[in-house]
Amino acid sequence: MRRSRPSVAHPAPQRGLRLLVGLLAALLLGAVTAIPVQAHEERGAGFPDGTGRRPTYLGLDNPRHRVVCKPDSADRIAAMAPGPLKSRNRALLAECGTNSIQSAINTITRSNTSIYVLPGYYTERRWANLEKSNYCSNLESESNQPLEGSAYIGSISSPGGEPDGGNDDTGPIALSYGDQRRCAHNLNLIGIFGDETPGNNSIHCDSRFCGTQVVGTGQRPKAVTIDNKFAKLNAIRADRMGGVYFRNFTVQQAEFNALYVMETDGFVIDRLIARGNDEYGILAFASDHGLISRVNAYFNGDSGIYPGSASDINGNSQKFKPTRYSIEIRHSKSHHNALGYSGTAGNSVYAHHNEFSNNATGIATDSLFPDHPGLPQDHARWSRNRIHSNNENYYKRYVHKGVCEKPIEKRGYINGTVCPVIPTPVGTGVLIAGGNFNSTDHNWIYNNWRYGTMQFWVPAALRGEMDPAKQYDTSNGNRTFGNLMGIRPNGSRAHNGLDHWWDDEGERNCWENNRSSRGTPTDNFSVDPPACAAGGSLFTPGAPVKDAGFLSCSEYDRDDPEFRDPPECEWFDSPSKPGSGSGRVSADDAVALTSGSSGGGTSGQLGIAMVGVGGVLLLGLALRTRVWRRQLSTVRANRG
Amino acid sequence: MDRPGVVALVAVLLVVVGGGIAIGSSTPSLSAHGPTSVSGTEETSVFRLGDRTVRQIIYADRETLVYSFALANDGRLPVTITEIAPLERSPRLFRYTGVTDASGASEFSIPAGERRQVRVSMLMHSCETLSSRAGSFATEVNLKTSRAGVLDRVVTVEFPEQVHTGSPREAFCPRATASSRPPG
Repeated sequence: MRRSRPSVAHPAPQRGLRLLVGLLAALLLGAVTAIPVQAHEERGAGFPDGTGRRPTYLGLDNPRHRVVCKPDSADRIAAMAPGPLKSRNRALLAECGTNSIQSAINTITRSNTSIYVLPGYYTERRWANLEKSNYCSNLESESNQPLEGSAYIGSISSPGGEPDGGNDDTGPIALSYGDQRRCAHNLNLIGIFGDETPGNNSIHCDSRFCGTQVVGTGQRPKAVTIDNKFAKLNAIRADRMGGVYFRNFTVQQAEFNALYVMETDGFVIDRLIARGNDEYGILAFASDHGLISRVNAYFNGDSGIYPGSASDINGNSQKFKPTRYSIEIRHSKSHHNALGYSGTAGNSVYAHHNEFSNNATGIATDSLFPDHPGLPQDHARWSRNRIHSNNENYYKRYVHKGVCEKPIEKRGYINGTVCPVIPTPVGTGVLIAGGNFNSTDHNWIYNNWRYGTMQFWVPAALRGEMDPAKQYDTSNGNRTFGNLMGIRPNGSRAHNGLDHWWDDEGERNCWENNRSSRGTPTDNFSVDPPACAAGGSLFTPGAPVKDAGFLSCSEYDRDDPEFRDPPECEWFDSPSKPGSGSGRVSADDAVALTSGSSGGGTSGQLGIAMVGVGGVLLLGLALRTRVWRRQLSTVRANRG
Repeated sequence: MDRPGVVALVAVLLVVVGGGIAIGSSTPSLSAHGPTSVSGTEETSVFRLGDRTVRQIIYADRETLVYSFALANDGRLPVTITEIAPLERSPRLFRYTGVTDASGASEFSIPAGERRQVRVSMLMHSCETLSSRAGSFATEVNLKTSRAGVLDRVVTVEFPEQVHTGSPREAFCPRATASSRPPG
């Protein structure tokens, strides 16, 4: 059984118009309140105006609160370790008024109310099985707040499809905000909507729900579990919910998102577990002033954490340093997903002190897919993260073996099955596919068997922009510096397959002061780019020589037996573990990330690069490089 | 006829027959070249990547994309193109529907050593079965040919460019349903 499909949205009537609007969004940001932009199968979203702020935690003694509990909450509280938290839970238990989180939310009368969720297992059956009103059942024809007609097309479940246990008719997926709010449970198990005046031009939160805090009161996030059981596309949706705060619980088993924050200016997600979803653990879309902290995200078919189309507040800047970041991600773990972090149009995101491990790819940001607001991607920073051991080959383990053909609830997501939605190069630490002005600095990047970092150009045509003047507008101004490559925090070695892979495209890119388990970082650079202070790489006219492989792999379709493993796609081949290299490196290497010796790779490592990249592709590269060098030598000789 | 004359005649016949068999058993030599053009898509762009030349087009569901290029007959006999033949692995988003020459003739000949501008028509379809973050390539076409009216062969011709498109979002894929394709 397959149910409704979420993939995010976009409304607009004409593609050209939508692209134009997206560009205007970047240009006019700050001048207009809500600028229409698009993304997955979702309504046209707008970046907030940036006047919001990140909320603060109101604790467990907010006088303005509601309490939710389950019949066994008392037993669970009794089992808690003695202390103030247990005492507070006992006191709250006495106030418990409902066993439904959504029901408690619905009773909120004033902003900044806390919903205290006592230890228990919450499936919200009342809302999962809620019978739709006549209006919500017939949105295609009855909506009085419809989207553009084209946004509905394709958003209904298959009329001739298999029966789906009553959930077959989900109705449209791309709803207007007004309809999302009015039909909150068409697509969401729990829905919180902050803008009570959808008819005006503002997307600000202006209702009694603003500043709502949903807080699990147990000792750990697993003490409170919200299990969607694939009943709705999203387990929790917070829409235009400025000031919303989610803390200390587990949320799981959604086809789209466990937790979905949309068009929200000011939010915090703290101490959450987001697991076992077909696509994302946490998706924060077209939002600003956000904090994602102490999250543990795993078993997700796309990414554990996706700060998608975060407010593009630096989109017009040609400077490396951003004015500020829109979303911060810190002290989180994202592991055993297809991607630890994904960022199509993941703009102005600052991710630091996280661990991205045991995914197929640790971090990926890109400008590969059309219709995401804020493209091309720019100005993210990944710093002081541990990015390691991203070698999980879920394609071979699950997709190619047919596990992902089973009905979604039988694939075993909650037990570790991952069915990648997108193609990604297995064995890669950090992937920048067409990003600009990103900083990859002071991370520990080790034990990624293909590449530690990978950066390549993505032509604008792939995101639907055919203007020849834009074709080289990606892969510029990125800096990779001060990282420890192939070295664990304790100083022991765990080589990457190749420390740095780059297609030689783009200008102002640089790699410097990175230390490697092999001494000098290994790379495939045809010519070392100049230092960052010297301006980095120069634009090289002519056709790119190196093919990163994304075009061949773009034909990936996990539902198609022929294209589960597209021809010529090498990304799904498991890279072999790099040579031994056990033992510790010198103390100098293990210590300060900031004190590394200079050094992007040298062209002398081309042989090693060939091992990493492999095959005919690099043989061709080597030949062309040789010619290129010969020409350079000739030029130098002539100059001399 | 004296004996040397018979021998000479037999030798000539052997050469002629042998040559004919050789030519007949060989596959016509066809190759594709620029100039290229495309119609039936909103916009298009061409870029190079590694050893690939890619023509990106925008998918338009159930519309026909016409890709034009020069087809060269590199062999020693005239070749007649009669129709399209199925590929071993069909592209996910393109279905070949026909080939014509510049005048629109669906059966046409190319003299030995010459070129003709040809048009390959492809129906853009099946986005409802492909994730909106996936793409599809049309890189070659199978052409049914004949020489001298009897020597039929199917020849695979690689396009001068790899024609690529991305599967559109649902709003632009009218037949897509909530369960008809994987997420993306």
